[in-house]
Amino acid sequence: MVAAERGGVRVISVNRSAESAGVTPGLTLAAAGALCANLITAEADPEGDRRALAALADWCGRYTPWTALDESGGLWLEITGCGHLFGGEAELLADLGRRLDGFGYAHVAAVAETPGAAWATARYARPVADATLAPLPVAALRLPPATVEGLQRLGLRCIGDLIRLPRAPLSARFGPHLLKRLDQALGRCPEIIDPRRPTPAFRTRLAFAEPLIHRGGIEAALKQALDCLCRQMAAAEQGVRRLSFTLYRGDGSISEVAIGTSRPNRQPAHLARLFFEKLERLDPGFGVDVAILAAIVVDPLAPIQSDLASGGETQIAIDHLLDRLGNRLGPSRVLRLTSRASHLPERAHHAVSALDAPPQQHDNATTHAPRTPRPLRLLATPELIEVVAPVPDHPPALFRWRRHQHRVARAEGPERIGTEWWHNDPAELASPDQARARDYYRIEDTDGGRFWVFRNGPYRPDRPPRWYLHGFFS
Amino acid sequence: MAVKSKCKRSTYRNKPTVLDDLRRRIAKLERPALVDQTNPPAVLPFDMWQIDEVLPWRGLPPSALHEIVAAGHAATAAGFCAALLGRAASLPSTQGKPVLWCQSRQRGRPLYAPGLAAFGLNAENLIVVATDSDRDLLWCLEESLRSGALAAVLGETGSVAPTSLRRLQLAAETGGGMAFLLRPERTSAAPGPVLTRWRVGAAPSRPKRPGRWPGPPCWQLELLRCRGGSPGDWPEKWLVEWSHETTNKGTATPAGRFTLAAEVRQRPLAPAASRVGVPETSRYAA
Repeated sequence: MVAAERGGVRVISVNRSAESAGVTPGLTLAAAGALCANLITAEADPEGDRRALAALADWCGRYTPWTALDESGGLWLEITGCGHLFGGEAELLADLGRRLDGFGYAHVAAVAETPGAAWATARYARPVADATLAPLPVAALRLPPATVEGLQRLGLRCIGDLIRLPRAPLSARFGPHLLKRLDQALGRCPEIIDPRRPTPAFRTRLAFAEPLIHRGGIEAALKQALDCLCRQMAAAEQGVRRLSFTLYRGDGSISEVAIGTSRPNRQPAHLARLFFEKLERLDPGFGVDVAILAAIVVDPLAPIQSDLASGGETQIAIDHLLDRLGNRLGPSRVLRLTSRASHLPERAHHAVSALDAPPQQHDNATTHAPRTPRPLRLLATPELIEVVAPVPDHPPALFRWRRHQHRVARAEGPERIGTEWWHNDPAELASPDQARARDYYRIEDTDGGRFWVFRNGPYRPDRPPRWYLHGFFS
Repeated sequence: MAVKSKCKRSTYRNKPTVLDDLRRRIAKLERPALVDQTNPPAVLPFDMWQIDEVLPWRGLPPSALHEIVAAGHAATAAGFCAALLGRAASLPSTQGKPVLWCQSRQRGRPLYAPGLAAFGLNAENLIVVATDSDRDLLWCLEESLRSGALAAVLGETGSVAPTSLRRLQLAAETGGGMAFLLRPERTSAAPGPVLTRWRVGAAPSRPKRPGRWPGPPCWQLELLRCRGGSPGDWPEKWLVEWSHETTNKGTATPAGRFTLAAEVRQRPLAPAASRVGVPETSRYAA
């Protein structure tokens, strides 16, 4: 792999045969060509590499839910408690290696007690199985190049040399970073790495002897996994709010669907029904060999005793309906509309997803409710209308909206509505030009249609007033 | 229900029990959901005897489709629907079940919460669903009706295919909720299992105070179709007003009531069959 940098085309990374020919990263392309006559080069694509590595990290979810990307082109897998699923850590590693070989990736993998030790072992220990840190070079501690160079100049070549030295002079000479890395590698201080995805609280993993291809098989697997997961959650008195079902395909890619529920739930039948709406989005590809069902978000859920009064059952039926609507149409499409205490009409209205927490009655919204009637439908942006008014500061006698003329029979107003002083941002106003106050009129045309119109700002003799239609009364 | 209404006119009055038994069996084969309901939900009355006594059920029955044809502008008929939904949500027999209002993005204009509050609809008893397509809208209606978790369901639809109407009807029978379809007048009516069809237009309001101020909402209401009723029995139009009852703020009582402003009886005394082919608009030109 080559890339243009530092005034020339340089080698970024090499494969094993090039390495044995003496080509190392950092050489210019001309020097590398001199070392190895039949060198095959390709343009480096760091973004593509990163994407591929991220996809591989997702695929590694088949081994453990905790996966993370390493900046230097590696992957962390936290396999604490996962080894027994594969017959031990060594078997897990062997399985991983076999599959990566199958994909055609050259790789080195190591298991160690700490992330730092694993990093060092995978990159510098030969053979990999020999997991003692002391003979490894100091570069294995993930240090900046300047520090490595400084250490080597002092004759400190391997980690064992560092361990034997007193700590205070080292820290004074090279800063606290060196000791921190050393402690992290030795497990003396913890290292916190953010996993790529949130680690699920409950998880069920199904591995299949024969790859699944048909939808029927996937449905059966899902039901089995749901039963198992719901039993786990019942034992812990938890209910799921967000659940994902991931298929790990034989070709190293994954396919995932997720569902959400409005309240904590652990009924396999209901959850299965929510998933079945989305199963067509899951593509088994050339076969699925592992399926994982993970409860991403859980909330406490005490065991429910069904009561004879029907209120509880109705609530459950409503929750189930909301779950189904929200999962098919999207949570932002199933709404509850609430009023807010604000003078501005467009701000007095607030829509929240019905799948979120049940609405609370805002006392100040009801006490601050407008005394005058409000329209049933409100235009998102007020529309300009042409108005004929007999006297300038007077309700209209005639208006034209979308090429239809309406003759006004009755009118009420003006009701002056102004922006709250703490809202100064003109972009927040729905009105196209920025008037601080609007004079609203409730008018009725001769056919009985009722409209809410406003004049933008108070009447001024030097400028013709602009009128807008904002809402419709019933 | 059609079966039962024919029963009264039957000539085989001497063997009522046998016939009743047979009819019950047929009904059970045809509509298992309807017959199995041990505790049928109550009808939604208008609380206006002039309309209630015209309807064979003394109100709008549940487990059925009611179509509302919207004449006039965007919110006129929607206000009438909001009033019906608000009343349905506050019926004692619905036990606090919410109502659902479903609109698709390219149709219906957005609803406004402070305006809905005047009809007794708030965040607790109203769920609003905005779908992307008519297909999703019909799915949502069917799913909501079938669940039985809602007191009433309203969909702002266009022309609905007869098959879809039939599906909605069956879903309403299964769940026992009330279904309202609100469609603009320019769309065509499908010959479907609609129990009642209403046309709602705007009417000039009657001011409560002297002057040019608008009064409470007023609709002109026409009953275009009512299965089991005979078209000559009701007036051509009712002018119905909605009076807010501001004293009752709780959700258990309706936020207002219908009152009759006027009755228009201009229906020509011709037999009902001759009026079938006449377009609706020409009838109301006068």
